[in-house]
Amino acid sequence: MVYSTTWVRLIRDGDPGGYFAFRQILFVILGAVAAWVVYRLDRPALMALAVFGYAASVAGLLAVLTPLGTTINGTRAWLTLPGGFTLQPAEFAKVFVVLLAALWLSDRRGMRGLDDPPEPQAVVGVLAATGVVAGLLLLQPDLGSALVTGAAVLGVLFVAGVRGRLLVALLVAGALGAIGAYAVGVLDAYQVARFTAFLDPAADPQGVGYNVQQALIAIGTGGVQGQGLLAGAHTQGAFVPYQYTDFIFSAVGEELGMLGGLLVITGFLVLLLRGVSAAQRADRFGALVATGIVCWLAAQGFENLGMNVGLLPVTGVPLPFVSYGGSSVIAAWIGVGLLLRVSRH
Amino acid sequence: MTQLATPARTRATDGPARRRLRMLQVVILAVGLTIGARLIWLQTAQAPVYAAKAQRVQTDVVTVPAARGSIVDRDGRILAGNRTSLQVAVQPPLDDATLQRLSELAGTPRGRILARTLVCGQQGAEPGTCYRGEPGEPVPVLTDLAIPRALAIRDADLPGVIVQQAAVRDYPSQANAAQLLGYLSDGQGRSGLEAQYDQALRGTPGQARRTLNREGGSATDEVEPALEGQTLVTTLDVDTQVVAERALREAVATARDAGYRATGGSVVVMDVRTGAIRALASYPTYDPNIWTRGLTDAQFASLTDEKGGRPLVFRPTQALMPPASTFKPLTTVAAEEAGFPLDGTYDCPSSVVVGGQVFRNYESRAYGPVSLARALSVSCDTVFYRLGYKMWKRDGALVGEGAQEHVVRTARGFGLGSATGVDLPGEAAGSVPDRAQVLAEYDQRRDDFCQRAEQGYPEEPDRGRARLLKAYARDYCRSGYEYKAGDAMNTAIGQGRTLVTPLQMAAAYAAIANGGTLVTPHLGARLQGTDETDIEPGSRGVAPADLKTLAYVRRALATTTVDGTASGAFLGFPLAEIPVAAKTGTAEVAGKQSTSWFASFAPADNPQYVVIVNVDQGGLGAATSGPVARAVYEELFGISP
Repeated sequence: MVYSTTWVRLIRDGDPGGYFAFRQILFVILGAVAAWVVYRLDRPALMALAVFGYAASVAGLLAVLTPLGTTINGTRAWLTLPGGFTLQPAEFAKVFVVLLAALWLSDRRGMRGLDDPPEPQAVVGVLAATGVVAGLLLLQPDLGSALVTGAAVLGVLFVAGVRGRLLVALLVAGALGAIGAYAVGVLDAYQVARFTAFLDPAADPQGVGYNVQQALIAIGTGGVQGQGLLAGAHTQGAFVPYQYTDFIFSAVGEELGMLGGLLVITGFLVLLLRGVSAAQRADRFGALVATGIVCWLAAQGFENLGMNVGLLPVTGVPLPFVSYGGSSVIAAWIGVGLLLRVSRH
Repeated sequence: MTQLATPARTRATDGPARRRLRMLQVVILAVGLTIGARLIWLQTAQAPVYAAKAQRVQTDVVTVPAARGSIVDRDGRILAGNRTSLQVAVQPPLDDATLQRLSELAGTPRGRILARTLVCGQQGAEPGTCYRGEPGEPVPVLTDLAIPRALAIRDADLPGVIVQQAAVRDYPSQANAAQLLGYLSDGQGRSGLEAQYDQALRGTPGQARRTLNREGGSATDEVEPALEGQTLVTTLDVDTQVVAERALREAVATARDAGYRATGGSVVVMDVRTGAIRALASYPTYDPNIWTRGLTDAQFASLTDEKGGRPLVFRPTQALMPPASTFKPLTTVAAEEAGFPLDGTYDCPSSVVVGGQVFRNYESRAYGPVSLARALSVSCDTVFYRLGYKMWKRDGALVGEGAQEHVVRTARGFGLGSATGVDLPGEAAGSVPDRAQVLAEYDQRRDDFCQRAEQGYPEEPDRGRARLLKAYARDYCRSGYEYKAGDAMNTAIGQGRTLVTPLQMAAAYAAIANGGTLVTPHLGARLQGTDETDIEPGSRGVAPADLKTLAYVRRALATTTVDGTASGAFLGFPLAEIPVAAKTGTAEVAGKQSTSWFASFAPADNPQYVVIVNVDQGGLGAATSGPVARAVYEELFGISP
């Protein structure tokens, strides 16, 4: 799909049409290697990876706010690397936050039962670690990643046995935090407008509702069988903005139709449900790791799919495994490696 | 690798955690199914709705403008053609940052760009700068950009700013002809020939159905080709036009050197047999290219400024003035009709006294007993005053019931006082009022004049003129209900209330020259394109004069250049080969310097061309306008001066 959504534009600009697709394949290979490495790690190594990964993510999130960071589409979220590559620390931060949370909420030996209540200081630690990351994400500002991270950690806390009242309190606190962020000017008005545009995309078809409206048109014209790969008029005409990243599912919907779209959703559901059943069979640590990964992928994936079909607000998170982007692809594959690591036992 | 935990302890039981995980499963399944259901709904039930929307978004029917036809002279030399120019168009409204950047890149003040983006009629839109094209289309704001600037603007990729090639009007000939050709605004002819023949010149725009692409690219699908505008072949002759313009300009300069204000002037050159116009010059004029570059407020103001002579006014068809002595040939025709013999003898004293009022000859010269021909040649006013007086008396003097009105009828019969029907927009009609009209006008204006007779003209800055106007008002208030002898006498010498355009005089003189046919002056000859159509001027019938009288007048006028008032201007001209018939005129308008007239045709024995020249406040007809006519004849007949 990355090829389908980018080749016309590339060729028109005089570049090789397969540029993005080739890079995406490279990212998938890198991701698979990373997944294999994670799969092979033992528990101390995972512990070290979680701590190191989290620290590196926070460092990265801080670095993007310095002159080292690059702003794309209004979000200061990228670090430039040699060789024309960029790194998006937010994508890795999501993995390491849930990994760290799972580690802290199980005991040091991993021997505690899944039904045992979590240690209060561990919960506080997890909330602090999440708060730091979410705060830095809001500064970029990357509302979507902040929400996804929060949702994933909430899932972990829920399964770890944190009481319902606390979770509700956290949700309320998160909402208040978002309102506060808007009030002090961290979030721009356009982000709020974009966030609420899904409620009525036709109200302002040339403005904030444009992306949603165009994505809906692309999906709507796909029909049951789709218009065929590379043959979607709306996709090939580049009517949908950010189609190879955030709105790639609209290209799936137009060119591969309902069958292709349902295949993607089904595949996603199978992965998530298998993840949960792996959690059910794992020890406390394994169960929490799997839960965190599943909640992260679910939150991000459903948010992306939901915004493509006009059910959820537009927040600019990529569709895991499908959207173009090295950081996103590699992070998602690390998640897969962790799930395999859990299900091995 | 160490064991994570012992199977017995780690296996999750049916405890709360397991229930929570099962809840998570249910939530995931529910959300997944919801999204799936939404997808199915979008792609089945809603598919036709979105297909229709897609069609609308992806395709756009755009108008492909047709290349505007050229305007050429009778030999095909281009007077107004097209050249391509780099143009910047914008899709308003522009945001501040974009406007600022565009202004920097183009080197044009923001205000000027902004003014151009306003659609005429919108609040704040200024005539001359506002956009008069189709609303919704990109508005051209900058034309004739230098290539480096255009490239810089294109590379800046500003939102809503398009750099494109556009055809703009080009004037490659040496002739100015600004008001004659007219101008375009946003692709439409707004005056002159551009407006008159707009439909033909514009062609038929084509239609292209474009499959659009959000990033600005597009693939054009089906094209209904634009039908290029037709070429307008005119009757004009570029060489004659150039000479007429130059001679007029020089005459104005000369008159000014001699102390006259010489505020404006015109030249008409026309074929006496067909009415085909060879040249039409108007002074003052302006550079026709200013329209293509976009007018500034100051430029627009100068085009309509009274003090600058209002260059937008096309004097040959729009300036109205008394014809002065150039009217005398028509009085001659009228007198013959009224029974005054052509072979009679008429006294030319230095003045005549009627009703206690003295009517003087020019410079009070007396020629004694003369023929009508001589009276025309030397322009003896007293002969024509007397003829006017006698005709007035025959018409019943002050009473005037059932008046014959020979002079007025003849003048109207020769086309004065009504539009000639020339193929140019905005032609003035003028007027040759008869008794009934004069008296009707008096009824209408009496109160105003009587009020003025008491209050005077305090708003008039020129004290002398104000006194003069007040005296007129007093006189008019007292006895305006009578059509007095003086009215008729003034009419007979082309003064008074008669107002004509230079083109009307050209048509009247053409009728004298061609034996009485009233031609329709015209500029359009043919329209060339996929097919060719001749433009037929309408017919206007015949002037009320018999052939013998006209021949007599022609012979009389031919002597003007030999030993009459125009002999000085034609000194050294080969009159033996090309006899020129002429009548000079010096019109008096209260409070202004005299207007110089020169009406002529040549060759006098077999007339081909009529040449009419006039210069407002330019002094004597012979001295100021004569040389212009001479220069034109030298060009027309290939005489090297």
